[in-house]
Amino acid sequence: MAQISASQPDPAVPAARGGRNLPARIFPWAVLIAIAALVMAPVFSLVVGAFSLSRLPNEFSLDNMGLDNFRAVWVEQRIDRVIWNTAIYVTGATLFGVLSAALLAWLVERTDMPGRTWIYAGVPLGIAVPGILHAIAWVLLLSPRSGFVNRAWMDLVGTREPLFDIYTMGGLIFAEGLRLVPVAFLMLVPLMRSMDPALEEAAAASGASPLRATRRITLALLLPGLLAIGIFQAITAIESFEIPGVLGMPVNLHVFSTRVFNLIDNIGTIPAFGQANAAAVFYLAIALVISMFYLRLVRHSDRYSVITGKAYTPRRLRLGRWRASALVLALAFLFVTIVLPFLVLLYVSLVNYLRPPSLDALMNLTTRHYETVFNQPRVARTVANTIWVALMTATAVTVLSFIVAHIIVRTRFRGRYVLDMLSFLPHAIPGIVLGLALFWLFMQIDRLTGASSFGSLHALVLGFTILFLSYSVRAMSVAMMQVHPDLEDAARLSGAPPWRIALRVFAPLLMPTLVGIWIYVAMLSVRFISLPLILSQGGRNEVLGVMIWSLWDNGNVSSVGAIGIMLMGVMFAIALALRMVGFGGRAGGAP
Amino acid sequence: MRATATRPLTGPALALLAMSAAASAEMTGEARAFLEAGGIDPALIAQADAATATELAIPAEWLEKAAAEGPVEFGTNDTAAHVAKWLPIFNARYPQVQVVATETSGAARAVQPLLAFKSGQLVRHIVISFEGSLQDYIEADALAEIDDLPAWEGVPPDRRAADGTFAGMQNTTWCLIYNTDRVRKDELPATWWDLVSEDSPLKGGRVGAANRAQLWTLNLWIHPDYGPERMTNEFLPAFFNTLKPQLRSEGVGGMINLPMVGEFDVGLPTPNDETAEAMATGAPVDWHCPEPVPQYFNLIGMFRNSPTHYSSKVLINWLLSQEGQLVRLVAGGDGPVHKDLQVPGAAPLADRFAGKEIALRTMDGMLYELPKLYAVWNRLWAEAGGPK
Repeated sequence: MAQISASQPDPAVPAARGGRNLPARIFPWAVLIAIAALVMAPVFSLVVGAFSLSRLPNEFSLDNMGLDNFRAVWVEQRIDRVIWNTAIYVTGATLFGVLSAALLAWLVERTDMPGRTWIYAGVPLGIAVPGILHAIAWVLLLSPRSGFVNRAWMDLVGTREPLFDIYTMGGLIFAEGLRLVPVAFLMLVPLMRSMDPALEEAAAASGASPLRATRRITLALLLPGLLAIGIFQAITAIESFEIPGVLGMPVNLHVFSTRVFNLIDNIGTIPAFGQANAAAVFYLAIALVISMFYLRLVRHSDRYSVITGKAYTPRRLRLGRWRASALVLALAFLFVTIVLPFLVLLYVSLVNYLRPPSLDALMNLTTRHYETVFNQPRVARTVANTIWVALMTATAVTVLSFIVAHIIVRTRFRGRYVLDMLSFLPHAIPGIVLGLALFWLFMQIDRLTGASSFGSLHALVLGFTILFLSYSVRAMSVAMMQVHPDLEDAARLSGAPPWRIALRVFAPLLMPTLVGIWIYVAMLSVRFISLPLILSQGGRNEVLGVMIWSLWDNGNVSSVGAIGIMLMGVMFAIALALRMVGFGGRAGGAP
Repeated sequence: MRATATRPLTGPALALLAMSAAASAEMTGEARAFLEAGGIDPALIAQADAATATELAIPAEWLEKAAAEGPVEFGTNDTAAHVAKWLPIFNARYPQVQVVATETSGAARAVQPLLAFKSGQLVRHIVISFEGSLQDYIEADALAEIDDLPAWEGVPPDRRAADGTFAGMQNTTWCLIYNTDRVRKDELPATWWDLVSEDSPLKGGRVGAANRAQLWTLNLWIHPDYGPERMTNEFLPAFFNTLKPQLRSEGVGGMINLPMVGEFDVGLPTPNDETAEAMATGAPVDWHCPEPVPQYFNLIGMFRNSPTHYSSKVLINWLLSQEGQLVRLVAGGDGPVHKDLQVPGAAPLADRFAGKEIALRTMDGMLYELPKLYAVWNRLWAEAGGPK
């Protein structure tokens, strides 16, 4: 998390030279216009579509506009219930996720728990498990009637009541909360690590017990940071589709993301597109309000600053007889979030047909589901599409964020505050909303120009580029601020043009950040399914997430297991690469 | 002489073909071997072989133009493994026709391509199993005429469009899958009325039902013993309120897989072909058909103004031919719709409905009665708390 306002002018930044040539002066404006078009055009299209009373996007006409869609989603679709569900879901998942992450970060950074290094290395690996695979694993384990855990419990006790029911609001909060932990952990670790121990030591000197000092001093100091991280994670939870899609939709437990998807995923008839847009506008408005609140908070974060430049070693709390319990707790987290989903998917990928674990099942394991997967042309095509989208998106986002961050941090360009706001805005746009917005936009563009953007791989790259821009611009801005302008000035005085300064000065110094952003965005491109679920049109631009969703929807659980295991293997490798680059921890966590 | 079409056609070969009035058509070695290995009666293979001379005698010009087109794209309800079996046999005959078939949901298969068509572009070229959106397709005039296909005449007249824009591609029978460890045979209903009766042993959540009214209830809706009035006032209310099935969001695949793990004991509706595949894995499931047995034919058509116009015609023609129909029967258990292949045993699990009364879903039923059925079904489904 970047707890700074990237657009605050750096006092060390030299003022714009009046004698710069015209292209150099026009360039920031061109970037501003391009980013504005990139971000605002889909939003504009979405909002206009919400007022359109035409049945189809391509039948849009200014003569046929009104508020009927908003009335319909409020009255007929009972969007008020969806708002309530979303509020409970987001609040619960955020509280559970951030508090769990805080506990783990505290154990790793501020206590003498054994095996801290392993826990520190292990928790972020949870990022590697795509949300849809997490959700599917929980269904296989905790479905009230057939979940392996519940089935074993019912057989053991002789009851018909399940031990847990994952298809509940509690189940959704639990599954989403666990998914939020790795990123929250990465954000919290630097906070815990950098905290000046002087206040805690003063408390101890005043006779406060270690636990009392932790509660009254450490927690109090952490509270502003926790709040900012909490809001950041709430934005992540509100846009989440995978968990509520797999666990909530089957029982009509809808949050905003699933309700919008549900309105346009209609088997028999042409969906109510205008209503979907109207619901998406409500959804976007809520996400924007939360994002603005977050921005305000981090913009004034210096008020709560307790991290100083002094060198110190934070005092570690001695856990005494609780050391082993703490380790067990941390290991249990790793088991539940990483090992268990992997084992469950491995099992269903190897069992000859879907059934609860048993000796007989284990004696008859087969690799035929993997053979089936490998023999399908569709899989090769989908993997190729996924790789292409990930590579193109990661490259586009890295380059674009470098340019945008450079203008924001390193120039006195008049529009840099607007540019900063525009680049942050996509963080508030949920993937499903952006997918719907682009759907409308591409329909209109194709209708007017005869192009074929809808259903293309470029459509996915464009969508992901918009979606991930805010993460990367924030991370890039933080990294750029750490490079003193003297280097840039020296290069400029030597006569180097701006592009050469960027390539020869910034690029080498920022290489870990550039690589880190590239890897992180590539990983997100593989994990995200909400946007491609709307923009994907079969073979031409189907990606892995969509294929897994489709296979799951069709009940092809064994193939989901086989593909999931292979995907998780690759994602673990990427996550390890991300950790090796050191991107996650250095700049205060994930971007 | 065996066909030599298994090798990619070169330019001179195409020119040679163009000079002839029609492409040569004999059963390929690959198709013959595939059908023999699949246990198809040699007499049926011989019959299909003989029919290729007429059914697959497509104009050489089509092949020439198809070779210059890009891949034919369509969404299908075939699993990827199923496609991987029949597609190589098709390509053995027509290597110049590239096919991209993607297993998708109903919305992606039928609704989204129509939407794209209406906005002036094509994201799919062929459309399959679009019965739920048939009326929308007709209103949009989205489908090209395909009644000039040589294999068109093999489709019985009551299973193809009068205006020549779509045809039945495969017969599917829709019944109940059940977990043999959890359901006794004497608990299985003889008729659909038995299933929803007050004393049905399957009451109270033992049945899992997918939201697919068009696959089985439409057949009853147009059946004289049921009819719209009794369906509206008796059968469907009893189905939702007396039987009280689990109303599921999963599709047909889920109905087949979930009884295996005990999510529910009976899945409805499930097709004979996919259920037979599940049974072949050794899973403790079987299939039962209450009477009258719902049966229907999946439709196939192609979009107008398609960039793969000729490739699509070549593919559809082969799918409707006896060779294509038998290959798909072996590959995925798709029941032939071809009028000369209506023989006992030419469908998976045929013994489960042999001798029983068939309730066939008609073309008129799909066009005129389905919207009325949806109105009743959707209301009851929603009132019973079914997933939206």
